[in-house]
Order: sequence, then C-alpha cells, then structure tokens
Amino acid sequence: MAQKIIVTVLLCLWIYLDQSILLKLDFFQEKNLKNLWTILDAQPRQDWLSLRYRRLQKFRILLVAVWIFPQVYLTMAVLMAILILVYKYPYWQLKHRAQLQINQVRYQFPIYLRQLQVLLQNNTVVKTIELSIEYVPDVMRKDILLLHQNLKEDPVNINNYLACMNQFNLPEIQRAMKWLYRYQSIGYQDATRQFNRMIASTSKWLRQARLEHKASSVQVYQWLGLLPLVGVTLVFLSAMMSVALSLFERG
Amino acid sequence: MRKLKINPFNLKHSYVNIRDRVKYLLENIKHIQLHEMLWILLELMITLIFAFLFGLPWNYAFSLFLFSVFLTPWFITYQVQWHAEEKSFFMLTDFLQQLIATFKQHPKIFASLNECRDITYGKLQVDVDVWISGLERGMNPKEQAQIFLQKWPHFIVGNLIHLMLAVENYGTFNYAEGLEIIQDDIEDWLEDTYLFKQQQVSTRFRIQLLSLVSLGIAWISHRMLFKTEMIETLDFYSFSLFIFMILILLTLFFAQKSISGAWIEPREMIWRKKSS
Repeated sequence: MAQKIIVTVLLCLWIYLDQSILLKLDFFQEKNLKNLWTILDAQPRQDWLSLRYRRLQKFRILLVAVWIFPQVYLTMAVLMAILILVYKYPYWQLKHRAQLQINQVRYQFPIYLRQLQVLLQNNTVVKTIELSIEYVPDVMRKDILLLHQNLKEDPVNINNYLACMNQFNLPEIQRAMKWLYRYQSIGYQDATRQFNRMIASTSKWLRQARLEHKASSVQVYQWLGLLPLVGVTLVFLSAMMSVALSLFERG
Repeated sequence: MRKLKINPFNLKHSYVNIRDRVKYLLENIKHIQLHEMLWILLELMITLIFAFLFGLPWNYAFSLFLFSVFLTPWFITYQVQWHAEEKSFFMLTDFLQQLIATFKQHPKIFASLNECRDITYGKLQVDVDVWISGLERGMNPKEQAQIFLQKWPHFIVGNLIHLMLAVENYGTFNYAEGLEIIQDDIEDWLEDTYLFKQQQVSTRFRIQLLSLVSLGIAWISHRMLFKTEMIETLDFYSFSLFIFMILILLTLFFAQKSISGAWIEPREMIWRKKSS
C-alpha cells in the first residue's frame, strides 16, 4: 500500500512540475543529437524535445496501473520500461536513420576516393575535387561542394580538409582527408609514395566494405536452414500428442 | 530482370509483367544445363516421394503436388537468372579489361571501342554499338559516354570512362598508372564476386542437405511410431506432416531464390542519372 501511495505522490509531483521540466528539457537532451541532425542534413526541429515530452505526458497515466495489479515492483518496472521506450523511440528512430546514412557513406566514400585517385594522376587536388563534383554521389555532394569552396580560398589549410564530413566520425575519411592534404602540400616524390599507400589502403577498404555487405546478405539465408528443423520438431510434437490422445482413449 | 508484380486490379499491367517474365525465361533457358534441370525436378520429386512414403491422405498429397508444380517455374527462373547474370558480369569485366589493354596501346576511345566490340554480345553489344555509332556521327564524346554510363553505371565503368575522356581531351603522360588502378579494381571485383557466388551456392547446398536430413529424421520417427501401434487417430498427425512438407518446399524455394541476386552489386552502381 505504501509503495502505491509513493508512486501516486510522485505522479502528482511530476504533473505539478510539468512546466518547469518543459523549460529544462535541454538538460535531458541526448549528447549526440545535434550531430545526428547534421548527419541527416536536416534542420533540428525546435519543438522536437517538447513533442517527445508531450507524448510521455500522455502515457504517464499508465502509472495508475499500480493500483490495479498486486505486484507493485513488477508493474512499476514494466511501466518505467514503457515510458522510457515512449520517450526514447523518436531518438532511436533518428539514430537508426543516421546509421543508415553513415553506412551508405562508408560504402560510397572509397568508391568516390577511387575516382579522385584516378583524376589525381593528371590534376592537382583542388582541380581533382572540382572535376569530381559532377559525379559525386548524392550522399556526400553537399560536403564535397563545401570542401571545394573552402579549398579554392585556402588549399593548404589542413582544417579545411579535416572539417570535411567530420560529422560522420569515420576514421577512414579523416585519414583520406589527411592524405589529400599531404598530397597537396608536400613535394612530389614523397607525395607519390603517400599516394601509393593511399591507393593500397583504399583498395583494402573498398573490398572490406564489399565483403561485409555480401556476408550480411548471405547470413540472412543461412537462417533458413532452421526451417526444416522446426518442421521436424512440429512432426515430433504432433506424433507425441497423437500417441498421448490414443492412450487416453484406451483408458 | 524486373521483379514480378501481379496486381489483380490492373490486369493489363500484370499480363505485360508475366509476358516479359515468360519471354525472359524462354530467351535464357538455353543457358541451363541438363543436370541442373534434373536436380530441380529431383528436389521436387523427393518431396512428393516422401509424401507418398508418409502415407499422406490424397487431398494433402494432391495439394503438395500442385504446390510443387506451381513452384517449378520459379525454381527454373532463378536458375536461368543466375546464368544470365553470370554471363552479363563476365562479359562486362572481359570487355573492360580488353578496353583498358587496347586503350593503353593506343589512347583513342573510338578505336579501342571498335577493337573490343567483337567480344561483346546481347545488351552490352547494343550499348557499345550505340556509343560507337554516336561517335561516328560526330556527336559529343562525353555525351555518348554518359549514355553508356547510364546503362552500365558501375563505379569502375565510371572511373574508366572519366579517365579515358580526360586522356583523350587533355592528354597526359601518367594515364597508364590510372588505368592500372582500374585494372586492379576489376581484378578485385572479379575475385570478390566470384567467391561470394561460390559461397551462395554452397549455402544453398547446405540448406538442401539439411532439408533432406530432416526428411530422413521425420521418416525414421514415422516408422518407429507405426511399429509401436500406439497411434489410432491420424488427422492431426497427417496435418502436421503436410505443414512439414510445405515448410520443406518453402525452404528449398528460398534456398534457390538465394542464388538469384544480381552479380553486379546495385549499391556499386553509383553513376545513375539521379546520383549525378
């Protein structure tokens, strides 16, 4: 009984503090939220957090269920899990979309880099990036355009390279950008050596991305092998049930 | 090949779709080898033989037979698709390798294309012919190359075309190194794709073997059960056997479907119009 009263008091207190909580929602904001919006190349909605909180407000009435079910702790645990799920779901959705975008970039960047390497045979870094803009994949077009703009102004500033696509936080991209910077800024002889390393590394990366994708597509079908075993189990169970029924009928 | 979509509210569209599928099947069925066809028929026959051995009532056995007959064209289509994709993939890679070798000797697109045209056939040959005839008519080389790239938008094709255009337009001393990078990419592409396809085939074989083993286990348990003479009513048992057989057929179907994927990975086709 005491626990039920505590829960009810806490619920009333929560309702009472609603306005104050709404004002301090930034405190509950996930740390990487801004980065997720940047990855998705979307403007963060000002009311996004308050919308999530309003949805939570609608569901908190479920806490009254502690008066209905006898196991207070179990009911509380289930209800808390539901409330956390309700609050976190839009964030998880956003994170999932961002992850898909990152996966796409991880797959397409080495392909784009290969294009750059081919063009680099005859051009400077800035010219190469300029020539590649026409063919750059959609998922990184905006970033490459920005990089090109920055490089036209200052082609030997390392920050311009490092800032490109840093929202994805992919070490491979950062390495490639540093290579491009070195290729632009240092002497030809060393640049050639660097360039050869870059080609070897991109090949490895490209193959890895391809093989990972292929392996995941095969794994889906490997689970199919379980289907006949499930079928046999079903046959066993039905046979046992039929035998049991026959025994009962005989008495 | 387009995905088969049958819409009961749009019969005309469904008819066109089915007609295309049948046409594709008839055009490419010649690629199927006899032993592959026999293997497909044997797979379906084994299921029916087991249905007979289990002594399933005739309505269940007939339903299984109809289901097998319904699945047979799909099994054949997936096998046909495998061969057609395989041929298309190897033809494209052969063409690209030959094109690179020829272009290295004499860096002119038109001459190289003319020299490589003969090793192509089917859709690739049509697209190469369109490219060549465009150049013959004096059209813009870049536009003609783009038309080809729209048909074969793989990144390696894109890299090669862009490099060839740059070499032809501006000239360069180091283009051979660029061509070698592309050549290495083709080698890797060939190796990865071939290994993956072998893996797919062995996965299919494993699933087929598992299905056969589970049929064997079910058969042994069935015989043991009937030796004890403890079973009197068979309705529920027969129904569960029927479901089991359907599951086996579906497993075999999905195992066959697993090999029907594209040889040229759609995710690597990044030079389509919408991307540029």
